[in-house]
Amino acid sequence: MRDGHTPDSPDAIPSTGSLPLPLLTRGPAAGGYWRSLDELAGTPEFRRLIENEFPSLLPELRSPTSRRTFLKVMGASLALAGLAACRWPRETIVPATRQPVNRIPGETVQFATALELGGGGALGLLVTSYEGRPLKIEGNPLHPFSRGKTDLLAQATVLDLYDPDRLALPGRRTAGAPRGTAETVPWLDFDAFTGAYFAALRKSGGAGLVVLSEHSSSPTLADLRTRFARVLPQATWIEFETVPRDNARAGLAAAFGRPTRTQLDLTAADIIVSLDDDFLMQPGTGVRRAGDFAARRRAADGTMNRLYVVESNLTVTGAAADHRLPLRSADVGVFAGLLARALLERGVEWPPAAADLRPALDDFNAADIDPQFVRAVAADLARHRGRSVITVGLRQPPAVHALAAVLNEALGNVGATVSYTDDPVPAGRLDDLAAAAQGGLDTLLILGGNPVAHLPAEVDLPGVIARTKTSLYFGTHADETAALCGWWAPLAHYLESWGDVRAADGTVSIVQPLIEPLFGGRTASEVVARLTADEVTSAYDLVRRTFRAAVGSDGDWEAAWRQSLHDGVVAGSAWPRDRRPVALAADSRRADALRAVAAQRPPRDGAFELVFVPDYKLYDGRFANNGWLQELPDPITKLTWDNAALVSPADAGKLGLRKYGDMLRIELAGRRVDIPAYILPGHADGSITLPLGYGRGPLAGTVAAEAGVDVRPLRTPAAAHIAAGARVAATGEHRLLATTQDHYAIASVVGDAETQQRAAHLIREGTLAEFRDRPDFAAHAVHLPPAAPLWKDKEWQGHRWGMAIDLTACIGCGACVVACQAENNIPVVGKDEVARGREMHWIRIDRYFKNVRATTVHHGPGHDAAPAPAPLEPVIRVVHQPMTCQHCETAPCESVCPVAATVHDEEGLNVMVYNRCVGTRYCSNNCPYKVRRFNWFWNHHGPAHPRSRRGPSRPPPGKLKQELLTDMEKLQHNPQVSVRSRGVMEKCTFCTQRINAVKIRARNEGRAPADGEIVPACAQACPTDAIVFGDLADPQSRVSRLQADPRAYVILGELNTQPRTQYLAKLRNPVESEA
Amino acid sequence: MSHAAHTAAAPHAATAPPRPAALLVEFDSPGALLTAAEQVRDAGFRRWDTHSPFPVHGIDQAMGIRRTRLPWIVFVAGVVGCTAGLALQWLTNATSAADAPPGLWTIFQGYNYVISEKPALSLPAFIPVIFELTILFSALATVIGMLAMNNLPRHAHPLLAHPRFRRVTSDRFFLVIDADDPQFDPARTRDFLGQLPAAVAVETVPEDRSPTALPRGVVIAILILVALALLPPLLVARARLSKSTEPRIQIIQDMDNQERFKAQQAGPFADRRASRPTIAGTVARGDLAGDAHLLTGRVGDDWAAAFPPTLEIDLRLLHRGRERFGVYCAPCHGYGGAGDGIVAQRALRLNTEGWVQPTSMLDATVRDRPVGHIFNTITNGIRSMPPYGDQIRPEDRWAIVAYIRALQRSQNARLDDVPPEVRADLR
Amino acid sequence: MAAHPVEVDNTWERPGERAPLVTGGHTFASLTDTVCAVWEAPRPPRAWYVAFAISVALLAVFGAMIGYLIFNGVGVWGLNNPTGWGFDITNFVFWVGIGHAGTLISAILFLFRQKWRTSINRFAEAMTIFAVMCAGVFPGIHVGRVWLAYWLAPYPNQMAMWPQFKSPLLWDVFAVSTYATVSLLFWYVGMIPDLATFRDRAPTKFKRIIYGLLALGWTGSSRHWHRFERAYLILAALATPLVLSVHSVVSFDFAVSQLPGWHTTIFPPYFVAGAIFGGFAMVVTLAVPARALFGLKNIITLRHLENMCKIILLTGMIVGYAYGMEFFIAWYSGNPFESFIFRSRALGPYSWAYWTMIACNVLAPQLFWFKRIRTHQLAMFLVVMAVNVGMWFERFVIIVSSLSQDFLPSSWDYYRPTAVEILTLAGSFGLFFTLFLLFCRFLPMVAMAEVKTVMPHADPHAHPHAHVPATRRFDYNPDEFDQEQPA
Repeated sequence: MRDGHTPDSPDAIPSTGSLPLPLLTRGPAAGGYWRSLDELAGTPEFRRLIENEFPSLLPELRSPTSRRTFLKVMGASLALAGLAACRWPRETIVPATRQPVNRIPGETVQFATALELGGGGALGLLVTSYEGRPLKIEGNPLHPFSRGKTDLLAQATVLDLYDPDRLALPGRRTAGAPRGTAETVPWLDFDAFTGAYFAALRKSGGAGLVVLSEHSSSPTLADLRTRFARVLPQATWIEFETVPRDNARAGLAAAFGRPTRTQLDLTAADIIVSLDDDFLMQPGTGVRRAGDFAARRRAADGTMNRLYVVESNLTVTGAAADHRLPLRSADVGVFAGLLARALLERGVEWPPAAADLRPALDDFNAADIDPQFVRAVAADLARHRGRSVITVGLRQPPAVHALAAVLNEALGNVGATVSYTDDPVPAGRLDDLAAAAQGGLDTLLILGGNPVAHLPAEVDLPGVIARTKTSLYFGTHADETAALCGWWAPLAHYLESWGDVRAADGTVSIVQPLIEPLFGGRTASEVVARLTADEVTSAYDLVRRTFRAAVGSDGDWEAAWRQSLHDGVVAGSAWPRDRRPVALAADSRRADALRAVAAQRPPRDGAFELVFVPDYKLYDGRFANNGWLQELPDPITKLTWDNAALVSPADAGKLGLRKYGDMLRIELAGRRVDIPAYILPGHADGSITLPLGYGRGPLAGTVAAEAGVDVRPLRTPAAAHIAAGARVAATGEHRLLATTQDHYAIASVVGDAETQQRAAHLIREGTLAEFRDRPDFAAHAVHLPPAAPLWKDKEWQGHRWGMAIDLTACIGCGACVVACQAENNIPVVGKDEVARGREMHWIRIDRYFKNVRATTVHHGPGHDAAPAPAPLEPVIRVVHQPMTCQHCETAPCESVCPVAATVHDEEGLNVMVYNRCVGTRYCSNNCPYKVRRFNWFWNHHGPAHPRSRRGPSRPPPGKLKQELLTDMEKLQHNPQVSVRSRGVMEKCTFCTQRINAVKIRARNEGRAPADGEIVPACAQACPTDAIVFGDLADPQSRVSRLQADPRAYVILGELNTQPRTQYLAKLRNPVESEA
Repeated sequence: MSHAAHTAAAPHAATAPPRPAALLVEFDSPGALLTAAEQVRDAGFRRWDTHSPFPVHGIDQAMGIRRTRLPWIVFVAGVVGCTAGLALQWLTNATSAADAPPGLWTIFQGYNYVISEKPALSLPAFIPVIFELTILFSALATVIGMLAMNNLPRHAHPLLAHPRFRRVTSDRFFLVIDADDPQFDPARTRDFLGQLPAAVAVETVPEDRSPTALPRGVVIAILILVALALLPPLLVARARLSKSTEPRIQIIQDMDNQERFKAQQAGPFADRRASRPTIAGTVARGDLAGDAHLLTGRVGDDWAAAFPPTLEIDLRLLHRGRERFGVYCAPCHGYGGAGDGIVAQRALRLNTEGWVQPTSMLDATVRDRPVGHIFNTITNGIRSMPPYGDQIRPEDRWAIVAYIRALQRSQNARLDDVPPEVRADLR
Repeated sequence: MAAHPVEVDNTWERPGERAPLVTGGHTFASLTDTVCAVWEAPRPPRAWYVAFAISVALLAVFGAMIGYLIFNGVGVWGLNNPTGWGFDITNFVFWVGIGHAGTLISAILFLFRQKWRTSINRFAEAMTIFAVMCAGVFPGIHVGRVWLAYWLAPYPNQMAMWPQFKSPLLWDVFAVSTYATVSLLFWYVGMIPDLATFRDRAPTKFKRIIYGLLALGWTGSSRHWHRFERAYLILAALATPLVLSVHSVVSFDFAVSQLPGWHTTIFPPYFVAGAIFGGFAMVVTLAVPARALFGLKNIITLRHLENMCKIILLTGMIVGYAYGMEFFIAWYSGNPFESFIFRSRALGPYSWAYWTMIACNVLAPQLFWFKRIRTHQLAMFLVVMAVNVGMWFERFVIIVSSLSQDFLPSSWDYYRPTAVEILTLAGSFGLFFTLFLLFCRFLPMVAMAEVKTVMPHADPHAHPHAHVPATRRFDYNPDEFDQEQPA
């Protein structure tokens, strides 16, 4: 119950000297007033009243979920009874007695920090803080690698900070007690235990100790690992990767002889060949590569790059390709071999250092791989030597990576578009863990990463933990790992921590905390410092020590430190890019490995290849409890709250799948998973893609509890990416999948045909050749009678805000959607509501499959007898169109609103007056773009709230109770944006709060807002700068120039809505003639 | 029928023979009524009427009834409704309260929003409402006009008390001659009526003696209704006239109390604040202490003698400084900087204990201070002057310092300081 | 006066001869007795109690559903992002349409001197009032913040916030409220003489006071009748454009928008025809059982029913023509959005609703070409029930199929009603029938004064015997007229 006095409530946290004040007070005892009906329901008086008045309702109060329903019913009678709830709330102001200098209440400040995900490279961030609370994450423009851009995962991490499910207290499990019974432990006791235990470990030199942590590029952790090895020589430290980069590492090691990382400069590349590499969406590097890729696609100088993609799954990168060949992942290596041969035939000189690989190429045969495609790619590459790139995906075997390195060398790309740098290698290997754990471990210390959930099931970490005498886990949640370990304690979120990380090019950023740990967590470095009895104990000092060692203590290192904190970057810390491939003389294994690629292709015998991919939204599953990401539509499938087995339409026909959500049973080597299918046009036949990270169950948190299916049982460390030989059958069952587009219930033959026709008008496309020929082809794509208004158009004075969206640049990643959600307090509504078509995103990315020949999402089965496509023409083309309020001059929504709740302001913004809205929904009906969103329920805590719906009845140990939910969400909400109530329509405002903040600042400084100074959240986040915002009244502004571009057009121009947003037609660069 | 029997017996009561109110003739067909009406009309009676269960065709002519003027009333009402519809929409949608002259009319004026870029006064869009109001006004005028001209409702009527007359709403036809008619004579008129063809019966209608008071039940019901109707205005009046420390009643709060923590609000943390302190050691964007001169007013260990080089000292900065000075400094230091602001004057008047008189910025001591020192004083405060570092941006603090310098100069200026071209104005 | 009068066929057509509108040899008195018998009976027929119990139960469901809705939010309905309106506005338009027949019969047929209207106009008008009440509920409850719905009314407030008069929803507010007011006035004014009849026949003092107050002291004075008739004529003249305007304005909700399938100039006449069509169907639906139940077969005769069936046939064909014309215009205009939405109506996800509509609204009324069906009560009842269903589906098809597939295919979504919506629709019938049954019991169901004017012996000039038909195939006995003696 929620009376706030039980010993395990966070009220009882003893205040230890080392701990800052965490989130504490609640309940009438602490506050003396009720903040909510929920809280009132926790008071003994209220319960007594209920017991006396409605004895039968008492059980209702015991479960948090049904209590909500109960309270809703009780709400009216309470209101009638004249409780304080029906009066205007009293607000308490708690000003600081002495404000810090240069901090003005209500104004935001920004701090540079950085985020690392799975060792792939850090993104430089600039976090907006409101009164000391981080609210919004943006890219750090001073960061030389990520250059002010972020991806959707980084945008969403701020919600994790305020996750009410986070671990709040250390805990332990009594030995022998059944799983799930546990007790919380005060920090003092926990520290006393670890202090003594660590001392004993040090005494024994760390015998029997294994430290397990996620691979990190942090220089401080690297330094601590060397100290650890010194202090505890007999201990082992193993770093794991949930999405291993082992293959790339091994392949490049085979080419270079030492750990090497490939750095691409896509701005210099005319031809990009991606072999199963989703390089636009790779955490850590995708942001930069997407930006570079898009920079060369706007045809500003009449040239464009050309992207060839050979892949199994239809990825974001594949969707951006000019030519795409769907192939099973296992066949992609063969394609690489064929490509190498074709290049040789074209007279490309084979590097002598790789002479040993040359004979192996003869093993490759082209049985079922389109030779024309291979020839075309080879010809194009041969024409663009020194200006092309071949890049290989992480899941491809090492030999393919090595081969790609050789080909890049042969094509003269190295030094121009490709360069090589250092690559930090994870300490230890997971195999060592199995070896060490053979006879049982004394101590297992797990530093974050929740390996039980994210490592392949085969690693059998639960078994290792079970055979370990003392297991300690520092984690953010009471998750799967905590559920098995003997002791656990909260780990600080990165926004609460000091630290340091490296970007993919080696640039070091200092991680600055934005707020004291909300739940009193520690950082991994602090734990290791305690373990090794370091003379420095705080993360701050540890990071400074590393920094000082790196820059040298001479000179004004303190100034350099402050400069690094301010910029978010340690100047000049990137790795040198001077490495060249070297020959490893006569390493026969290298050629054998390549032959194996050709030889070990799985036969096409009805068995399926399984490809495990990190989810675009949940990555490996660590973001499973993040509502924004769960509800974000997948960039390609538009699925929310679920994963699905992605299958090609032809396979779906063979398997008898009729619509998405039909269940498949996948069996591999005796292991079995039932998962709903999603029929994805453009997916390779014979291959099934399985996104990781779902199905974690209630231990993942209340939000994640019911989302998706866990596919890990099918994944082994040996086949961490690709597994062959799976047997698949439809079970005949069906599972509701919530998508934001392509709802199969609305599908019909006429509708699908119409969608194809309309997509051509909505998203105008042309090739580079057409564009050169006729730059304004988009304007002529649709010929309409002139639309003239019946009245005189208004003449605007002052600013005229407008937007331009470049469809050529948009890759559909979804970063803008999350950025908008974070900025504008957009609620998460949960799977059921999304399934009803009630998602609340103010910006959505419309994705159309174009040129789908006789295969569609809905009618795939039975229609797959399509004529063979022309060789280089893709089976399917994907187009993305970010869609948000168009701020029409003659807005159709305005004239139908009976209460003038939506009107134009003097700068031409179509504004929504929430307070005036009564909710007739007429405006939304009349909006041709359907960008208005209605609050069907009280989305911030009502029955549709995902946490109120899917909360487990019994929270796992140490978890926060429901009453903090509202406060935690409130902490995250942007105070500069209204939190809308139910019954109110809402929509994109062009981030009016940002416009006004800049206008006020400019007026204070006695100047006009500069072009580019006002950046809406979506435009800020966009890694490819596809969204540009500005003042149309200024003909020199970027947006004005873009709207004057010959590619610019308005969608649904025939309605004469005169949108303020214009789109720039999409350009493709298919190969012009076959060489 | 007991009630009817009672009234029927009334004329025979011995106590007070009632005066006849009218004479009534009953017919059983509309044709008979029509014929009779013609005869009565021709006999020159003025105050008489016929009554029938339905409108009898031709009776108007037979009785000599003139056409009613009701249509004219309706027409006027229609014109009023039409005008009201137009005026309502024009005033509320196409005029702005901001531009209106003060008075009652302002409440009938709205904001002339930009709606779909349409002209504010958009007649086509106003037609439906104008039409509906025209019809509504006309229809109400029709019904009210008809009832008023018919003198209805009239619940006490002598005829209604007559038992025979009850069948007028079923199947009988009556001709009634009022006793007030100048030609009326109880006996002669009765004879005249008795001779009318097909007259079923001729009866005297006695004066209506039924009690005029409303039945008690009706009175009580009306009183209760009135009391209930008065309740809301009384509650409103009470609310307006009384004072309460309670927040006002707001049953549905919608967005009045939003789920977000605004500046300086109480929050769920142990210190009861929603705002959190900045972490020691962090550096915010733009906060780089590298430019100590700009942020602290110090160069090395000394007060800066000059303005930070990044600031351009120009007229714009001085204007900004004057404006900020007026906001933050003038209340105590006075607009001239002499330490005679209104707060200081009031403190002197009240003789406040412990009050330290604001320094005059024109004093030589302040004039001789380096600008960095003055900047520091603004930032961190001195004596009873609070620090303003948390309220005024550093650039604005420098602007104030610049303005103070200008004030000091102006109070100690010589003619040489004035540019030659404006010297003439000083005379 | 027999409780169950025999059915008389007065539907014959013979040149030079008018079939009587009232059968059964009624005199003024017997007619009055027959109509008042419903009210004077100590207790109504058992069927009335059964119907009333069901109606009140449905009304309770209605209240419960609305309470549930207001407590939780509009999300309890199945609406979604493209489909912002579903059952709510469908029900609104449906009920407003039903609410057309009453005023139409009263006003337009009055102006056209259609004397047969007199037997049915009263309860058709009552039906109008109750249908408009049902209709009025839905716009009120469909808004997201019900407690602020009064913001649609133009009232002066301190914020100088006024409604936005360019919105068709506001036109609706004025049109529907004006229509409700004028219909109520029309109904009430026409009822005053009959209320006076009730007053004069009231068995108890309480009833005499109540009906006396309602009758306003009506004495049947010819001078009053003169102004009364003039006022009635003016009201009819006002109500006629009004009745045409109301459904036109309701159709503006759709026609003024720019949604394909909504943005159509054919809507105003098409909606009005549909309203008359559906309204008459509902009148027949109510008349067939009511005349049997309350012994009114000689007043609401087969001829009345047949006439209404003919109107249903005509308006049904107008509606069918509109359905066809929509397709033609969609094709002829060359507007791809428009032509798609009509292809999709016939072949797309909501084709089931579309073909239900066609079957019920276009095909079913064609049976009325056959006189045997026009004059057969059960057959007639089944056809008009189909029309009632079809007219509801017409609105559903227009609203939902257009919304669910508008301009951008990305936002298309299927709307599926929840149980709450279905129960709310059922509950609105509870409100309607509860009111209607109370009306049958406590108010004059037939406009007695008006029916008397169309009876042959109401003509003061002609000799009563001239009206007696040559054959005595109708049990009309002119002698009764003469033999009738005052009581």
